[in-house]
Amino acid sequence: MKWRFLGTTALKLVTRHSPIALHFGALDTRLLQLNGGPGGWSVRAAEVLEGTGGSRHNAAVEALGPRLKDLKLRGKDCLVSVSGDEVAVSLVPVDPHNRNRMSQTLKETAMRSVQDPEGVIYRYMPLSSSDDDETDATREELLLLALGQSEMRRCMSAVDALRMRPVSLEVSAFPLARTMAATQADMEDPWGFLHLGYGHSIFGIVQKGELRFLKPMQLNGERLLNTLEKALNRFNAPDPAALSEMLLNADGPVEETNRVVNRKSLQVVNENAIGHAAEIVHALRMESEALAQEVRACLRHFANRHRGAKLAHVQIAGMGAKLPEVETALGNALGLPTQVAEPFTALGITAPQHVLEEQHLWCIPLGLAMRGYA
Amino acid sequence: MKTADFLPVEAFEAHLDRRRTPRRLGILGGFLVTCLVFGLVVSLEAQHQKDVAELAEAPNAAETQAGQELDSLYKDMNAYVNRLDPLSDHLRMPAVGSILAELASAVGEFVQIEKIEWEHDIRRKGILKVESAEIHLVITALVRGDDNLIGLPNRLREYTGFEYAWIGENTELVRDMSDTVRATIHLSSPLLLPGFNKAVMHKEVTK
Repeated sequence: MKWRFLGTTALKLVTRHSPIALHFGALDTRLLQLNGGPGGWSVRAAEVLEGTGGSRHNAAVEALGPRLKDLKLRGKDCLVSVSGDEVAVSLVPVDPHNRNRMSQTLKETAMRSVQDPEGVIYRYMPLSSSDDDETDATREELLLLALGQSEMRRCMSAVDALRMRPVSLEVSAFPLARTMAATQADMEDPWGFLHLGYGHSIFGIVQKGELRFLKPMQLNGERLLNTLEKALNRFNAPDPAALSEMLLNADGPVEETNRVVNRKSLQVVNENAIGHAAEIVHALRMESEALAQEVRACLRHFANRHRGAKLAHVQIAGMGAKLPEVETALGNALGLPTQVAEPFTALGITAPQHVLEEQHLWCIPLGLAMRGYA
Repeated sequence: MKTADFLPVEAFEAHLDRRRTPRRLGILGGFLVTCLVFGLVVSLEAQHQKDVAELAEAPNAAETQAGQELDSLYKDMNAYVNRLDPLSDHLRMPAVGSILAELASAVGEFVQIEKIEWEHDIRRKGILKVESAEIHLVITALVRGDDNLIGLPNRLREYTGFEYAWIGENTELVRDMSDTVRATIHLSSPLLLPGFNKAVMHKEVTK
């Protein structure tokens, strides 16, 4: 432990640039590299590459490949993360009398949770430390993460095609939690984070710098966006251009993949929402309450295992976090201080304007880049 | 923060190791530079010491000539060694020259010094061992007045620092000089010889 700390300290003294962080998200792929060190980071390169679905890896390679030299990236080591859409996250309780069958149970659970003809790879980790007196020592709880081999292959192929060296592949929740933990390193009480991605959302609890709970949520950015659009349609006169861009084929799985949801369309939503704050909060009430119920169930579970521990606050990130009035609606429903994560501002990281405007979308690449430092 | 990595742990550890490499190279480079500088300093100091030693060993004409003259002087002195040794012994003994300079004024009014004698009195036990040693100062003077004569030994003792002072027995009146006698004052003190730690007087005196 001591050597590990010294090693980390030594790294802090010498590294002048972070590894390359590459996050394959549901709507886009984001690349980030930082300059400097923990005492003073700045963004060296930040790129957003449009692309969705199973072909987003190739799209990222095709978009990034010709411009790779212009980015002047340093080093080849690349830390990769995949969207929570691609990873099955499960909490597996392990009773003492079933401990000898634990490996088999985990394997079966992982195989059931992901359907992939190429196979499934899974990892698990305990969510409570062995020296934590507050936890129920008789019933261990494991976090199981399963990923399809085909998704992993696509990620690795894309990294290879970019002539980078993959050194890590994490699910997005971990770098996200790492980023948020870095912004509140002194926090003793447990706090929560909610990632409202386009295709999935996930709620986690961090205590004393370690992840103690993680669970996917039903509500995601897509549902929030749909609710918003319906509400806005009632308030505003129909705008054929915007509607055709945002609401094209809103129903059905095939059409959903063709739907264009990007920075521009989200900006249109935000512009249309101006002057309708109260109505939007009201429209989001149902979704917020549903999410709050899920979160409250998680909190009850966490409190049972941690002797009534309560959350200090909740930070939200992801595409849905900055949708109009989502922060307010969720805060009201949860009854907890809720705020959109702004890690670059909180950590004093010098960044280009387009990054600062979308800090809630850069949390995951930032957590990847800071791995080994934070 | 603990994490679940789908790649082997070794991949990230190798990455951390690569990130440490610049520091390692820096430390190694710094160590090599330090060694080079240290070697250079040692080399320069060795060269300096060599130059100093060569300079010290080089023949010096003035020193050689002085040495030769000193050798010839020693040769010349060897011819007079029998006479020079007692002289040398005498010169090593303490003297009373500094006392004599102001003695005339120290004896006071109406005292005219006629003769001063001083001697060493060394008693030996065997050939080499010295048992006791004294220095004697004998002053013959014309002294006017009885009180003046009686106080003279004390005045001389205080001035000279000798331990004992007394008037000799052969005091005589002086013709044509009223109330004036010729007296001999004896002063005696232990003598600290060169090479001794403590001065010891003769036994009959100490008793």
